[in-house]
Amino acid sequence: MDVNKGEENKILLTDDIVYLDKFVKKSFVRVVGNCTLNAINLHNNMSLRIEIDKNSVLVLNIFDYAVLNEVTLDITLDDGASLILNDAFIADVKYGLYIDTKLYGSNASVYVNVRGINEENATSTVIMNGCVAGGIDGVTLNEYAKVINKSDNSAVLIPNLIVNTNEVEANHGVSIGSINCDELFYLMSKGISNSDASKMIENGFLLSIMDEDVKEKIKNVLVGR
Amino acid sequence: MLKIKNLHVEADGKKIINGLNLNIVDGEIAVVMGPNGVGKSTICKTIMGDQNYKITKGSINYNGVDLLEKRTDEIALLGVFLLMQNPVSIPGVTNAEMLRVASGERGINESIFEFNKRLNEATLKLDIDKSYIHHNINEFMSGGEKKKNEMLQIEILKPGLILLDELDSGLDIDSLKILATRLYNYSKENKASILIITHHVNILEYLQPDKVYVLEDGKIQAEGDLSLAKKIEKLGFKGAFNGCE
Repeated sequence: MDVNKGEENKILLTDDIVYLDKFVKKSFVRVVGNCTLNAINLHNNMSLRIEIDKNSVLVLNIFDYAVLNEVTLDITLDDGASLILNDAFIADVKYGLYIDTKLYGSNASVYVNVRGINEENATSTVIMNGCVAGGIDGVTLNEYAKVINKSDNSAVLIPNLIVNTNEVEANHGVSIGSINCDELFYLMSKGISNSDASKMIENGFLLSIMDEDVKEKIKNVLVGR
Repeated sequence: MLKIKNLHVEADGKKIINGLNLNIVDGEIAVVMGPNGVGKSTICKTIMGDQNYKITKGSINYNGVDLLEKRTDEIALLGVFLLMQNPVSIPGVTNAEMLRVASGERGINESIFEFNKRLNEATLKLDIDKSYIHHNINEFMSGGEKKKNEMLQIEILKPGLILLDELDSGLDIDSLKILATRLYNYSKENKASILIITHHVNILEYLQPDKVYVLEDGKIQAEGDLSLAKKIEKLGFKGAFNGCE
């Protein structure tokens, strides 16, 4: 989807798969029905405000190749609405990802899965705030993030769950680590050099959370790494 | 030819291999047997250049090249293939992607069409589903499926020396028969050497080793032919040592 630069862009998604490939600083997205929004964001600041209507579903796949930028997602869910958010990023210098999900309706569900690579000397901050309103029930809220940190620089991952009701299924988990040495040895034992094997593992780590139809487009971006 | 001479290996400060001598000529199938914890798997990982193992003395030479001077990927490119006991899974990386890169590293210049044809032929030869090709490496696979996946890689990468670390682990009888028979035929067709690490005898019925070695206290304690393995099966490792050194 090609959008105009300048003021907040307004998008209505209805039972569709949409690629958001150019960005304004701010976009508002309303979701009605079963929708998929795929965004490949190269080096832009991005702010998305999303409303998911009653009984609607949004699968949101975001890939960020970030030199120095921030992504802000502000998402509200009505009764029975569902969000699956897969966000993969490569931080080249400094990256910030701020995800606010607000569950206002009963039987709403949120699954946030973030994967990131911090390149040498890059830093990243990921803050996930999941907020469940009072007086609702049957809600599910999951927030997970994993980052591979390639140097000793800062990687900050904060998963917050703010629950104002009694009946909720909520989970969160984060991890920061380096490349798995067993995976690296395995690929090298097939004759692949350390640097190529590392890139394969990193790219696979990012791609493994993405939907199939967006993987190929992301691979094209990763070829240039 | 693989020549291991007076090899001493440590891991985590503990001596595991203490003066190992082992020669495997081209096309030979050799087996190293021994009870759990005597360092059988260490031999494979050390040959493959695993940095977790420290070589304190000795040499490993393959076709005139000193492997101790080589990195793991360089050792693989010399034609050495390690079939691990528990192959790791790698999310997001498919077999086809890995094998395409690994083939390229071996200087195999072929179109994607020719590459896919080779992959399809290999799946037919092994009687495995073509979908393996596009699976993420070993992800959501059973122990047996992982071993078949490794065999698929052998068919594509055509190694000259295969290190089989407990091939029978996680394999049912039918799968063991298919894989071991295919490995035997691969060895004969390509004059490839195989070093089998195991503590079971059933795999040897299909692989018909030329030599059987028994490892204990980090070095070869006994050497013989298949009859030694059968003796071990009958008498156990301790009983079989008497009269066969």
